[in-house]
Amino acid sequence: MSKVIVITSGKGGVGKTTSTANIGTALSLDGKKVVVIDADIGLRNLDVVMGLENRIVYDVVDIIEGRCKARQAMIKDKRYENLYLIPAAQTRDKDAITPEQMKELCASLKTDFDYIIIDCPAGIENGFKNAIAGADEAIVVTTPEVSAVRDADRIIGLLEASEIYNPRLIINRLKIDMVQRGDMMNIDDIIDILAIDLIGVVPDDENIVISTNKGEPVVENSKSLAAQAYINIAKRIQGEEVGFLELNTQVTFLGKLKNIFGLK
Amino acid sequence: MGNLNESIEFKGTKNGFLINIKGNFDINAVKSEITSKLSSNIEFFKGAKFIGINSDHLDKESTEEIINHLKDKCAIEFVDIPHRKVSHTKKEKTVAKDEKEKSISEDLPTKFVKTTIRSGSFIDYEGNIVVLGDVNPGAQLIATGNIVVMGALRGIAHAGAKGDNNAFVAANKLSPIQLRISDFIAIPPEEETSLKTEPQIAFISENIIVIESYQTRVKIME
Repeated sequence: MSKVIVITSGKGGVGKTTSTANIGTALSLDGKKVVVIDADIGLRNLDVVMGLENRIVYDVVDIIEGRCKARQAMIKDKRYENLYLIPAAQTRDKDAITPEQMKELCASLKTDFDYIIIDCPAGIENGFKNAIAGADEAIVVTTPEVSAVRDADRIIGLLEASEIYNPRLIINRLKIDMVQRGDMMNIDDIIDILAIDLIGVVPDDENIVISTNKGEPVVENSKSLAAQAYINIAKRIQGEEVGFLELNTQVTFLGKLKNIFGLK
Repeated sequence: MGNLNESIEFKGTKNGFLINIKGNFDINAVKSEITSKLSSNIEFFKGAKFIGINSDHLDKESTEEIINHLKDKCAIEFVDIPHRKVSHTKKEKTVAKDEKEKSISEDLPTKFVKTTIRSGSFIDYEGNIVVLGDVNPGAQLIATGNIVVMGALRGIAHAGAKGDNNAFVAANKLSPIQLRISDFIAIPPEEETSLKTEPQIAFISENIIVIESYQTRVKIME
């Protein structure tokens, strides 16, 4: 049963592309056939983050405008079996394709792949509408910041209006020490406002910056907590129940006492 | 004329004491009565903050005179209710004067919304609005009548939108970005004023938007 999942957020820079690359990679490592599609036409990044930019010959606009077949534009990942990328066009913009065309493309890929993951651009205009057109499910990415949560809330409203119900949430770049000091929103605050199911919490991790710059998804780095988080998210997407990572450092007795009295 | 002693009442609210004066009395009698009440209970009122004087019969000038007298003679502190500090800009009235509705909000139709209202959503209704869920920041409710949120009000709510000064906004957790009733606007104070969340109701009193604990206010309205 093939699934099309769109990874969206509203706000830019919260980790959609990074999540798409790592979740796609983790799913392929679990033996699934995965194609990731970059829907950010004009500002493509997914190819860079996966280290496949010099292998691009055709892109998603070429497929839709009939200059090539989907198979020709698809780039097989250099490290991982079962993982393919359809890059975006860099010289066009988001009006180059329509939602119907995206929907058709996704439908045509369903026969060959277990998971089709769409990297949605930031914003709520045509780019967003195109990206969600073919999706069965959505994952909303947010960081623990008021502005990101505000935009995520808007996006969830728009997803529901487009009949994509029950999106799931990834909270990215959580800094547990800041949360404990009360300087950063905690998970409960975020879920209180957004009111959707949590599918993963990815802690802030320097390894991510290193990996995206190198063009190597982080999931194979066993020392990275973020990698472990993405692996768990991929498992949950496949229906497995996985416990959330223990991110707390020592909760001191004073800390517990403060919690009881509602102090920070 | 009633007993002056019993007609002067100190009412405690979240932001400080309100002095209620029921009935019509000579201003000097009132001044000396209040002064004597304060001095005979000096320990109790030490450090207390007062937010104002409510009177059916005394006009604004008279109440201000009393306030100044109390400030001088009894050295008590009158503070502005945090909501008063901020803009009570009267918005430009684009509606013609005769369209102003009297307080008939109780008879207006009511719209029930049974979901959480997300950011970017906008509800505009000729009547009252009741939300069985939260109103998230970035969402906006505009009602000609009252607004009740059985959840957290974190967005913008505008009650009495056509000029009904008797409209109110009530919520289980009242933490809006901006609150508007009729032509008045208020924004919440900078710091979190209370640790516990309790149902609260906002309404217009003496030309400012006032917020009180729901339990206390409903008792007055009975």
